[in-house]
Order: sequence, then structure tokens, then C-alpha cells
Amino acid sequence: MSRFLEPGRMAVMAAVLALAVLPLTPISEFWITQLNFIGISSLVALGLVLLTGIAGLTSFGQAAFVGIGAYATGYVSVVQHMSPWLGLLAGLVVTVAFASALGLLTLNLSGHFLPLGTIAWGVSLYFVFGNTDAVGKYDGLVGLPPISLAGVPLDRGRSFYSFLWLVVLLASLAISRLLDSRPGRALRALKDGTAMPEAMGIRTFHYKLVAFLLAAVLACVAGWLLAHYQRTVDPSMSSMQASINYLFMAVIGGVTYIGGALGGAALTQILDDRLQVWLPHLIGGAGHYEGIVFGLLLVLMLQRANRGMFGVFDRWASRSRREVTPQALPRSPRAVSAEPLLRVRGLRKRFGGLLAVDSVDFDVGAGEIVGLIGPNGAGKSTTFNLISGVLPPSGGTVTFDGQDISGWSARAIARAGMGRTFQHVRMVPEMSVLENVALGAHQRGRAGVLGAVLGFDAREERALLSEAAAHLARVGLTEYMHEPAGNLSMGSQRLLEIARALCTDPKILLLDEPAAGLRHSEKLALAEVLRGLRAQGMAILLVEHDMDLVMNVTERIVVMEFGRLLMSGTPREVQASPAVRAAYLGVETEGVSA
Amino acid sequence: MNSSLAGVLLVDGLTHGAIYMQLAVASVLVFSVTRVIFVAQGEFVTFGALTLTSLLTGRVPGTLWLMVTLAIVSVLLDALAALRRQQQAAQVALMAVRSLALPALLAAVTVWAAPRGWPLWANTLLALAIVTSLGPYTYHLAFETLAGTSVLTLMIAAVGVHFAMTGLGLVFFGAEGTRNPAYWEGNSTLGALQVSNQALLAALVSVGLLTALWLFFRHSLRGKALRASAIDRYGARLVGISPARSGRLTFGVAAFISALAGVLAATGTTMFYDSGLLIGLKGFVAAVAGALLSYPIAAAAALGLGQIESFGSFFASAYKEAIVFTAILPVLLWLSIKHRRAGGEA
Amino acid sequence: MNLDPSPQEGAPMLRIDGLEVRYGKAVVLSGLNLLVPRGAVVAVVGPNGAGKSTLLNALIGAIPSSGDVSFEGQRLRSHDLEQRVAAGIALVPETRALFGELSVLDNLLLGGYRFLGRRGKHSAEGLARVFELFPRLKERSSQMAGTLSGGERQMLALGRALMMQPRLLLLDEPSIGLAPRVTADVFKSIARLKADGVTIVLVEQNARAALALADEGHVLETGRLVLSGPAAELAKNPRIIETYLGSTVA
Repeated sequence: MSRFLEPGRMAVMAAVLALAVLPLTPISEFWITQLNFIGISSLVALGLVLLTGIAGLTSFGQAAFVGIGAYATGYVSVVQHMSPWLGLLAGLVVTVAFASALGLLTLNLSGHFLPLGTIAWGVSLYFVFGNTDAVGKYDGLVGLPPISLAGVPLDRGRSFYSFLWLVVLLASLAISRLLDSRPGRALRALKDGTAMPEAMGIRTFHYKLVAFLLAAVLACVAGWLLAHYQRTVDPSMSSMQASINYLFMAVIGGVTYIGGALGGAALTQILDDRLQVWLPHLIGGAGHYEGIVFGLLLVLMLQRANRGMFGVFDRWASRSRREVTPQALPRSPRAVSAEPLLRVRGLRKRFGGLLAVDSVDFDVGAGEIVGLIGPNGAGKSTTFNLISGVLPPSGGTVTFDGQDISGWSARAIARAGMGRTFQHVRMVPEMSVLENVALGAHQRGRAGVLGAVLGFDAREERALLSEAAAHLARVGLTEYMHEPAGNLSMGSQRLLEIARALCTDPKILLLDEPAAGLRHSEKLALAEVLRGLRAQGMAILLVEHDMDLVMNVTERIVVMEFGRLLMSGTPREVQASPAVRAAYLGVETEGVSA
Repeated sequence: MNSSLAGVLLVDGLTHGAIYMQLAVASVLVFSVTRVIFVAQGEFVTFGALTLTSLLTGRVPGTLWLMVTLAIVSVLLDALAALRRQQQAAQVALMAVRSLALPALLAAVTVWAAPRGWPLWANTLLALAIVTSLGPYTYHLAFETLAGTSVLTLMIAAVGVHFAMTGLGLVFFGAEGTRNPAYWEGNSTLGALQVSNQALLAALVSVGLLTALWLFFRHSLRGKALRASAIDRYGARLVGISPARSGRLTFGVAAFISALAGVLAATGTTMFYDSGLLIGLKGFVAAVAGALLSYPIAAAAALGLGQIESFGSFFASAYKEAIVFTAILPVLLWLSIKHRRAGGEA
Repeated sequence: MNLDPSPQEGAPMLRIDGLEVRYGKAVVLSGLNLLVPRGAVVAVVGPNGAGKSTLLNALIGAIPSSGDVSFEGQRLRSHDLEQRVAAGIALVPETRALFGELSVLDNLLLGGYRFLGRRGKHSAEGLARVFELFPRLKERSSQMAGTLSGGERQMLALGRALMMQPRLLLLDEPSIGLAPRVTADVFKSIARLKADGVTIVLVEQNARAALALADEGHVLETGRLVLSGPAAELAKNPRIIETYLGSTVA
């Protein structure tokens, strides 16, 4: 209960309360109308916060979905004379169909093709709406009935207001709940690229599509509301201009904050309104000049204040402190076997004419720490990526726990029990340490979007978070549990990555240069953690440059040079080997002297 | 559909396709050097056409004053940056004066010449000069400080520029549409096809422009320096090729290409202050076919787009724009399949 | 360019005082002091992850750094690559940063881009010198840079840097990815540059080859200089093996 009394949350509750009682006050009809338009726009902006701010995908075509929602209900209620609620249903069906198709087409492309795709079909839809007889071409449809709730028609500004803002509130709550859940964490992990989430067993394409669909659905609902508020429908609702307006709202409010959607919508609406009054005085003539101000504002904001309005308030925002109650999460059975856990035979990788990895063999068993070292360009990272499924091998086999996993995807390998960390730490800086680590447990849960929003995932969430907390304890990061992960030191971030990998319930850990950038004391702490894990029976493959760490922590070392296996042996043997020394320090080159 | 009708549609498609081709090439150029998806490209088209219209009616075009304002702000910012680098004030002042010389000269000539009813070609050159100058200043003021940011941020900034320029277009030129007089009246017969001389001129100019660009990029060191910026930005910086200067030059070239397209297009189509968006977007649709990186594919796609539009407008004229923009979808599908096979990451 | 064109007499070409570089939370280089005399070859060796490339990136101004860096007696601004290039510092980065789709000749000519305007002569002389040093490049002058072999690319990168007529040449791991014989060729070329009087800072993992070539050597280990001295002596110091392969296991 104490969560609710934090200052940030109090402020939000106060704002909500103020909005709720507003229609009861004698405030002018003008402001009720403004607030109604703000409410409708904020729904679209909310979708953009989810799509762009959280998941990192951009759409310049959200207004098209607004148009679909509006036109569907327009057609159903005016041309077919049926209930607006059926219009909503129709709109949702069409929206989901369209968004799914478009998402399947464009979400696979690299970052900038998606927005171009959205522009294209947004413009396309505008012209379809504007040229179709059945929906009145560029004049659109008029005379839409109001929405009726329990027989009461919402045909006055104030009555519509209550319904609208209830919807906005519910949507905001739903998104807020979503972000604090298993699917929400997966969505938040999308922004930094797909490599890390895939290595945690997350189907990134699925979640991109989810974000896209949710944003589209929100826009559709906004369109439905707009249509029955204005009681007209016309193509300008789905124009590119409108799409850009919505994006502007999200950006100016702060595209990563739910509050930013509402704040941005409010600011934009009010600014737009005022500019329509002032600019013609200033410039003369009777056109729409607001675009000039908005355009300049947008550019300036991107240059100077790219976290938007709410970026300013971020300092006062309450940190999420999820409660942790111990609850067990089922683990997969470990079969004790005499065979080595990981067996690499004849591994090869060719890049065009270059043989980056050439017939590499080695094993890693349970309760063993094996180091993979070699001078720059030796092929260690490539080997690492071949084993973890980031790159497909050109030849040879990788056998893991008795299965041939050569050529498997990173996600499948993660699910088979291989946990890994990354050379450059990949995590979600705004999420707490606990939530970041819980990302690793994603594949051990099942809650979907609906379950998360409606709260059916409570039990599973407790288990996931409890698991994350347990692994945090294993690496000694318990005190930072609720800190935003971005605030941690490099050493702690590396330990976070290990805890996250442990959360996947792995049989083997693949660590990619975990000591890079660490201070001496942090390296000692890391070595302790690794030894502890080994004592508990974990198998570890360590790619590392830091020789002190490698020599002190590993049982066996595999040395690569020019893509080939140079030698394999104990740390002492490797240190003393003339071949290894020559590989690292080089040989005297003939004919060259000072 | 008989052959003479098909012929007319073909020529019509080629005429429009030539315009789209110029824009597609400009889009690829801008993206490859600066990573900006410049959705405001079309605004330079309308500015070109409408600036010429102003001059032809004896008025000083609003774009001139925009150019002067941007020039002053740009030079000021450059001067401040130089001073912060501890360069000598005298040197900085000299540089500033030299940078303002050309814009000042252009302004003076325009103000003097506008009411004097100069011939068409002279006014055209003046219009082109004014709009081309806008390019480098636009890059400097809107995009230079964002140079290291993501493609997405740059694109959103481009959207902001589009908004602002469209609004300014309304202020400068009003809401009425215009059509400019043709440069070459009459028709010619090419084999079995009847072509307007204007269309012929547009085609010749397009070819000439592309040849000039090709020569510039293949045979001049400055052109190669621009390509180098696009190929390896870091390597270019290491040999002293300034990314800021590359960006400004690129935007200048792109503005010229667009303004030229506008001036040619305005003889056959009515231009409004907001016509730019659709024209520019069509150029982008074509450029996307080449993944925003390949000139020949973008050019070919643009010509194809012209044909789709032409034949589309014959068969379903109301939906012609919808058809053109839906055409991007199979292209995107093909690109995404190619992308998935290459196993790349989003 | 704000550097005084007449350098102070007797000043070392490059003076580094207390250089520190941070990458986010990590301190990558700390408390670095280094002097590079005019005309000398200074080698900075050390194991991977020591911060060698970071040192050169900070020297060329590609990344921000704190501390004092003076070139020919004039202080350089942090993180200002353009200033350092204009001052006459050339870097051959680890990735070579060649213009793959342009010809070998074009790559070289672009190296001389700074002198564009004072046309002709510089370009031709500089080019002749580069071709004399690297005859293989002359053979391949019309070939696309992207099609060259590893050793040829290294030579092209060196040649392009030479076209800049640099006062100071920074070489980032010239031997990386090259087979031993090719490495020998590359180091022979660097030796010739040294004979021509070019001041060079050479960062290299292959300690033996680098120290055989250099006048002075420094060993970098996890962001700090742990050993310094005349190159010939350093090469015989057993401590180097420890920095590369760790202290002897108990």
C-alpha cells in the first residue's frame, strides 16, 4: 500500500482527480471541447509512446488507423444504420487485419524502412477514403449518431467527456500494467536491438507485432470516439498531416513516458488553438501557419531537449519498487552425464574468401571453467558467435547436452540451456536491475498481454521476480535490486548480465569478455562469482583478454591464432608455451632493426 | 487500349517519371551522405516552381528573404563556433563577410531584376539560384547538430522541416495554384509518338542533369570526396574531408535537382504550395526500391512509378495516388525477404 | 587552424600529460604521460584490451579525453578531430577506413584532399613517393580498394596517410590480421618512413616486431603505462611476457 503514497504517484492521482471533477465545475464549454479533443489525441499518442518510445519502432501512419476506426463506424452507423458499438467492432476487426498484414511486411526491415512503409500506406489509405463513393469521397460522412451508454446518448460535451476520459484512464492503466509485466519487459528490451532479447529466448518479431497492433488498436478506438463526437467523418482524419501531429505530440511530451502522451496532446492542442488565432494577425492572410511553429519547435526540441517535456520531470518520477516474495520457479532437470556438456568438432566459418574459423575442436564439461583466448583477429568472437547461434557455421558440429545444435538460432539455443553475456553490456537502462535480470526468466513464464493487463499473471510474476532476486543474490547485487540499471558501475553491470543469464536456467554460461572495463577490485569480485558458480556445478566458457583473470580462474585454456586452434592446456602450460608467446608477442621480423 | 493511347500514356508516364527520377536520385544522394531521409525534398520542388512564378509576375519572391535570413543565422553560428575555437576575431569577421557576399549579391540582383521583366531563362536561373542556396543552410541549421544521432531522429527532424517549409510556402505564395509558361512550345513527332516539346525538354534536361552528376561523382575530386563521406565517414574525416561541408554541399546539390524538377514540372502541372509532399514521397518510394542506396535501381523504379501512375490514372483515375503508394508494399516485401535471407539484425 | 605555424624550438613533437579517457562508466586510460621526440618512432605495446587503440583515438581527437596534449608546443582541444588533422596529424586506424568502392588511386588522391586548391604539384610528388615506397599499389592503381588483399590494404592506408604530408603519423596495430610474412613487409615499409624522418607513434600487439623498429617503447596494461624505456632494452625485459600472459600462476 505504501507504494501509492510516493510523490510521483500522488501527483498523478491528483491530476486524475482534477480531471474527473472538471465537468462538474462551471468551466466553459470551450475548455470541455478542448479537453475532449485532447483526450482523443492522447489515445493515439499513447500508442506511439508504446510503439516508438518503448519498442523503438516508428510509425508515420497512425492516423490511417484513426481513419479506419472512424470510417468503419461511419459506414456501419450511417450507411447501414446500425449501432455505433457494432461500428467499433467492425473498426477493430479491420484494424487488426490491416495492422497484422502491414506489420508482417515491414517489421522485419531495418529501422528506417518501417517509417517509410507507414508513410506510404498512410497516404494510400487517405486517397482510398477520399475517392470512394460509398463513404462520401472527400466530403466524408455526416450525421453520425452519438454513442449510447445504457440507453443514455452521449451527445453533450460533458457527458462525452466522462466516457472519453474513463477510456483514456483505463488505457493508461492498462499500458502501465503491461510495462510492469513479463511481456512488458520483453517490449522494453526491443529498443536496443534484437540480439539480447533473442539470446534470452524472446521472440522479438512477435513482440514487435504486439506493440504495432496495440498502437493501431488505440488509434482505432480514438477514431471511433472522434467520429461519434464530431458526428462526421472525413479523409483529413487520416492524412499524413494528422499522423505527423500525433507523432509531434508524443515527441514533445516525451516519447518514453505515458504521461508524455497526455501532456504532449494537451500542449499541442492548446498551442495549435492559440496559434490559429495569433498567427494570422501576425502574418496577415487567413491560412494555417501553425505548421511553421510546430516544425521549428520539433527540430529545436530534437536538438536541445530530446527527452520531451516529461524528460524534465523524470527526476521526480517514482522508481518502480516491485515487491519480492520468495516463490519457487520450476527448473529443468539436469541429467548427469559422463559426456562433456559442450562439444565442438571441426567448427569452420567462412566469410567470402576469408576462413575466420578453421577446424576448431574443444570440449567444456559441467563444473569446469574453460578459457578461450588468442591475439586480436584470432577468431575467438566468431567462434563464440557460432556456438551461441548468432552466426551459422560453414562446417563442423556443435553438440550441446547430447543434441546437435549446429546452425540453430540464438533463441533456440538459449532455450536449450545456453546462457550468455555480451561484450558490450546490453540491458535496458531505465528498467530496474531486478526487472533486467527477470528478462532472463522470460522463457520460463507464459503470461501474455491480456493476462498481464488483467492481472492474471500475479502468481507467475511473483515467481519470476523471486527467481531474479535469487540470482541477484548469487552475484552479490541484492542491494541494487531496485536501482535503474543504467546507474550501476561497469563491474556491477557485468554481474547483472551474469545474473540475467543465470535466470535462463542454463546448463552452461558463455561469457564474452566479462572483465572488459573493470577495475581491479571488480575483477576480483567477478572471479569470486565465477568460482562460486563452478562449485555449484555450472559449466562456463570464458572468452577473455584479461590474462590475470583467465589464468587464475580457469582449469583449461584453449588458444586460437589465425582462426585455428594453437594449443589447449592448463594455464601454466599455456603461459610457458613458446608457441603462445610467439602468437602474442610476435616474432622478430627479419631485416628490421632500429 | 490501342497503341496510340498506350503511346500517349507511355510518354506521359515518362514525363512524370523523369521528375520522380530526379527526386529519387536526390533522395539517395542525401541519404547516403548524411543519413537523412529528407521528406521535405518535395518542398524544394514547389519552392523552385513558385519562386519562378513570383519573378515572372514581377514580385520579389518570399523565398529570397528566407534565404537571406537563413544565410545570416548560418554565418553567425559558424562565426560563433570559430570564435569558440579561439580563432582570431579579425579572421572570423573576414570569413563571415565573404560568406555573406554571395547571398547579398543574389538578393540585390533579385530585388533589382524582379520588376524589370527579364526573359524566362534569366528568371529561371535566378529562381534556381535562390532555392539552391536554401539547401546548405537547411542542412546547417536543422541537421548538422544532429549528425551523430539515429536515422529515426534525423527523419523526424526532416518532418519538422517539411512542416515549417510547407507553412512558409503558404505565407510566401498563397493558396492558389500556378502554372508557368513552357520553355519550348509546340509538339514534335518521334517515330510513332507525339510528344510535346516541353516534355522533350524535360527529358533532355533530366538526362543532362544525371550525366553532369555522374561526371561530378566519377571524375572530380570534390565529387569523390562526397562519395568517400558516404562510403566511410570516419575515413573521410581522417583525411580532412569535413562531414559538415559534405552535408551542406549534398543538400545544395539536392536542392538544385529538386528546384530544377519543379521548374520543369510547373510547365505541365499546376503547382500548389503543398504539392511538394506527394512529389517528394513518390521520389522516396522509388528510392526505397534501391534500399535508399542504389542510384540505378532508384532511377529505374522512378521511371516505373511514372508508368504505374500514368496507366493507373487511366484505368482508375480516382485511385491513382493510392495505387502508386501501395506499390511500395511489394517492394518492401521483397526487401524484407532479402534481408531475412542475409540473416541481418533489425 | 589556430596553431602557430612556427613551432617552438626544441619542443618535443608530442607531449601528453595526465591523459585520461572514460567510456561511460569505465576508465579506459588513466594518468598517461608520454613524450614523442621529433623524428622518433615510439612504440606502445601491450595486450589486448590495454587501451592502445583508445590512446590513438584520443590523440586524433575522435573521442573525448581529459588531460593535456600538446603538439609542437601548442595545446590541442579535446575531441576536435578536424583541428588535429589540420595541424598535420594523420591516423591509420585499426579498421583502415578505406574507401572500398573507389580506386586505389582515388583513395590516395583523397589523402591529399587537404591541399586541394594548391593544385597539381603536391599531389604528383607525393603520389610518386608513395608509389616508390609501395610499388604494388602502382600496379593496382585502378583497382577498387575493396578488392585488395589484407597486406595491400594496409599499404594503401599507409600511402593515403602519407599523402596528407603528416607531421605526425599514428599507426594503430599495423600488423593486425596479417600473416607473418606480410607483417614483415609492412614493418619494412615503416622502417623506410622512419629513415625519411617521419615522426611515428606506433601502437602494436606484436611487441617484438614493434620494439625492433622503434627508438623508444612503452608498455600499456589496463590503461596505464607500466614500463618505459629505449626500445632495445625493453625488448629484452621479461616483465613484458607477464603483462601479455599474466603473472605466473601459483
